[in-house]
Amino acid sequence: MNTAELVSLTLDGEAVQVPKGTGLVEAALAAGIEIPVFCYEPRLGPPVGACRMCLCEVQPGPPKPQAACTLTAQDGMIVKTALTSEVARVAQNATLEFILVNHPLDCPVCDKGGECPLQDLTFRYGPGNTRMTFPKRTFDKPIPISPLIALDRERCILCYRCTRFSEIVAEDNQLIARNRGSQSQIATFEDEPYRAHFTGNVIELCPVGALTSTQYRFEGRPWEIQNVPTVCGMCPVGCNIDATTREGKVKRILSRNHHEVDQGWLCDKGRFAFTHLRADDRLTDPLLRVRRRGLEEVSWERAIDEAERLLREAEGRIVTALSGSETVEEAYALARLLRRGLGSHNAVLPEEVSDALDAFRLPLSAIADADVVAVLGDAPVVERAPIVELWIKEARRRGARVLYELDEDEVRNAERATLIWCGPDGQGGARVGELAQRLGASGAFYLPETANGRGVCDAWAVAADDEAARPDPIGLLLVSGDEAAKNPAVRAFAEQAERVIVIAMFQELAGGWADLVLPGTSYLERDGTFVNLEGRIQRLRRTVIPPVPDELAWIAKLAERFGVEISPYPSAVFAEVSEIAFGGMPFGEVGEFASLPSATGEPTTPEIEPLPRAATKTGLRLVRYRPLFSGPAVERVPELQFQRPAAEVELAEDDAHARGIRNGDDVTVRSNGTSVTLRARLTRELRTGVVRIADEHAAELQPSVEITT
Amino acid sequence: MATEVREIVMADAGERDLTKLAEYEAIGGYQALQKARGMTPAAIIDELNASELRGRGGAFFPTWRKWSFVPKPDQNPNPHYLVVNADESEPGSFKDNEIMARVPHRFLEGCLITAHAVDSQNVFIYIRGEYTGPYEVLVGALEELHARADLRGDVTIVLHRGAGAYICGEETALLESLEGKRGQPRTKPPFPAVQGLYASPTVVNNVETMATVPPIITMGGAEYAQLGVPYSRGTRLVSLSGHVANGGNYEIENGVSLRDLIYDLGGGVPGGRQLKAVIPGGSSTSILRYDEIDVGYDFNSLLKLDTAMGSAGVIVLDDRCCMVQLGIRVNEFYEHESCGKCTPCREGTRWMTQILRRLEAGDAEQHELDLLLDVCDRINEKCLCPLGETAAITVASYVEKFREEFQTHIDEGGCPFGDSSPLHDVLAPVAQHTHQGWCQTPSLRGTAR
Repeated sequence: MNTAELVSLTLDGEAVQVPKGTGLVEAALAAGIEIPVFCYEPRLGPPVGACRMCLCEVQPGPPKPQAACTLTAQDGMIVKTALTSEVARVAQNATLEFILVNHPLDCPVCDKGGECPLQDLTFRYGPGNTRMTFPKRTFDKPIPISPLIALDRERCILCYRCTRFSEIVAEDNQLIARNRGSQSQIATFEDEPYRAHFTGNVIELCPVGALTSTQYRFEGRPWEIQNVPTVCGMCPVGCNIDATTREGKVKRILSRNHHEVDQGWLCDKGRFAFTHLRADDRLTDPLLRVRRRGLEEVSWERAIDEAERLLREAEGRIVTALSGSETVEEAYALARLLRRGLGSHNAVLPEEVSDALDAFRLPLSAIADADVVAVLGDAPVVERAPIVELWIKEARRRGARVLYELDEDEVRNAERATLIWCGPDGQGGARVGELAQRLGASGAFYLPETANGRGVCDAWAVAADDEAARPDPIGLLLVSGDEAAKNPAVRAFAEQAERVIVIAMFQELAGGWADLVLPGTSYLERDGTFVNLEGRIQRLRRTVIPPVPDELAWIAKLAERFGVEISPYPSAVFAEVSEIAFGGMPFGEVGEFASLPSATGEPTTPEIEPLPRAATKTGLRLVRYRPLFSGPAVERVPELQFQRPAAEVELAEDDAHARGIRNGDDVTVRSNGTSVTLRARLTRELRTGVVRIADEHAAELQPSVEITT
Repeated sequence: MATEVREIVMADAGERDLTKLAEYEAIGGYQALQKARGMTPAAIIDELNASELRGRGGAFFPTWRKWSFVPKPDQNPNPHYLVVNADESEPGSFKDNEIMARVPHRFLEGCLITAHAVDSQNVFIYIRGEYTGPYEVLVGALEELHARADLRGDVTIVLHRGAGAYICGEETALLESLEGKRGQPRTKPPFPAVQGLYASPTVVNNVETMATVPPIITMGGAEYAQLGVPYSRGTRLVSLSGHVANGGNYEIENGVSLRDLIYDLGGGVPGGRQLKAVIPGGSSTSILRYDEIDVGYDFNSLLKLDTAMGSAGVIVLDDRCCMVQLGIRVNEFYEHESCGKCTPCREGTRWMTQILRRLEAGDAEQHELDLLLDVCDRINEKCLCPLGETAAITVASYVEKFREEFQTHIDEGGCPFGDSSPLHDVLAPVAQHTHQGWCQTPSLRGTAR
């Protein structure tokens, strides 16, 4: 669209100029005039004109009120809203009267009360009294459409936002409207639980209290809460969120629309997993192993003394294992302490990183504009970086071809090709960078496994220049964060290490192997920055006071004992990192809606290793993946357990047909000496020769498998 | 104008079994198609323009103009579709039923000509699910047609059965349903001619419109336009039902007097009863009192009385009928058939039924009659499609024309007619929709076989 092309129209007597193609609702907004809406939500596809809240007088047009949300601004148009038109005023008042005729008006006990568009619009445009003297329509309520979402059909005003989200945005097609007329109701297909990756968005889309979060029900009133803007730390996308807090506790997570990153959508992990902050096995006191008596609670002062002692005793033979969930500042502080203070340069980093993609840096929203999207690497995008899957779906809806097997010619011939690497062997983006450079793609993304893996690796790298081989034997293994503590490779190092320090949130992950356990904090409890998969530096805010001192504070204290000066304040630490790594950008400029640093450097052709072949000689290549709904946080949220992956093996249609396997068949997946029985799921989003199984169902299967019915 | 049957659409169906291809060809069937295929699409549209044919589904939109809105293949490379609305569900209308049951080949010939005129190779006939009889006739006719490549050409005709929803007679809801979605109207624009079935250019026409196309091509548009009256040219198949001696379908020239239609062709009100009211164009048109029937049965004449020909279902009501009960019956139909998409229709029709039931029971207070009219007002012109507005307009017309009777219900605290009001003869109860299978309609009694 040519934004220079403007149209002039009159809104309530005011002359307004807007770019051609602007919707009337937005055009009015530009003039500071409200056209009230319920069903209208531009992110849900074309307008449907269902609720009739936006009725206005529009000339030229038929001599009756028009649904303004379905119209775009035209030159010479004359629009009168309820402000200046009696016809529009009556029409909007009528719509609200009809909506309220069967609405239970249970606002005092409704979670939406106080932040409810229906309340607000009734106050501004609705009737002040009721003329309805008949029994209201009743339904059973509340209905749990899943363990996460409760449905109150009496409050529902049938705006179809939720069903449109399910059908058009998430494309899971599980939420439906059934029956008709005044008996229409929202339901899930066959009354099955609404089980998909993005279900919680319907709670936020609902303009009334019909869809509520089971976690937030009766947990707070809007005048008692505070929303703190921060970013999600559950995956490398870094969706922008608001954490609703009340009395020092996080009560819910809301999306905070960053149109380049998340478009206001949020996955269910990001939305619902926050209750892990209050898990029963959350550590609050440091634990010290005392010979024969096991782990004992000790004071923080004692714990810092012990940490100092363990660090000194290791005499530099230290390996640091990082999770990728640390903030940039925390990782940098740790790196300074260990590398500058102790000369211990060896680390197990959470990610492989490469700067090959810096020249292709684009916002995630650019995926939607591509005409060819090639999704490479064989792991499921939605499980690793869920929002990216929604951008791919949007691209497909806009007409893009989405390839799951690289077709070089198609990429080369596309005007705007986007490459996405999701899976093992990506070499931190080097591989997809090389492809993008060679095939002339306009955008390339690499999906890391951890939320701030890039930031952590950068921070570790800039703290010192020296390198060191892995000490043997390892004097001390310092494990930072629950992800590292869960990593089997790190566990293996622990076997060889003389001593182990673990920083973890949960007892389970620290119990058996640590000599000293320092309780950790969550991303919702820290100030600092994360670098997301685009390379965007985003600001984390402390939404609640953690039950333990935050990492940066005690790392600074500990560093001092080794003569390393580190500020306990993230702003100062960031300034130090930024000076070297982020072009000196000040902390204050990170902002609530972080912008993407522009692409830097010339595309380079990195060195890449040959890829393993899809089908091995002996069978199919197995790609194991870490499902979205897994990990220490998810495991501690009972309501999320139904979202854990089904016992399925995904395989390409060709491979299935060749073996006589149909969708839903029980099949046996075999490798040397191991076999697992799983349900087959046929997918077009996988290339021939590759099969996919979630980690927790893949048992001891080897990389080469065969499948039989 | 003479009150006699003038058969164009139904021509020869009384003498021959035109469900058979051979019989239809024996009277010159499919010659119009051959003639049309020798013409350019533009020439066919010109012919339709000359005929002044307007859509017979109820909206009365000029057929040629609808066709001319369809982009040419070089303007829009998507497939072009012809969708025939055979979802005849309007209470009081049963004309399409008879056309499909008795002159299926004339109807199909019309479809093929139209397909040629709008550059379509794909025709969908969306037939009301309960119309099992006409469905089977059409299946037979299509089988015969399938064997005849010379007639069929490169056109594929798909017969699709509805699943029992009145709203799917609304063209955009029909398209949604045909696409396999929930039958709910779309907002317009875009209009189907530009973006219809599968977002491609689509013409949606009524069965009777299609069946009128071959005779127009045969006789020429100008000749066809000699029939009828200005603005309402040609003939119309009228479904006459209710308290009338000879109910059934009658094909007449537009403009015939409504009184003559009821008394001459229909044989008047039986049993020595007096005429009370007439619904002139199916349940969605405003009612006329007994003293308003000296009017031409055509678009303009009825418009002057604030009503319409609609889908030409004339429902005759005798003096035993209670207008409040009629309101309940008709409004409950719309409440039941409301798709639930837009607020005023979904909530308003339910509220109207509640108020009407209170009036009928004698429990209503004076202000509730005003409330009923105000609710009608608040539905009217605020809905997404005509369904809800229709309920509001028709019920309001009952109050307007028979206000004293509604007043009596309030004053006397009950219904003066009680259970003796014979509405069940006139409109089947709403519960009919729960029946599956063949609905015996009065349609096959009308025209002489």
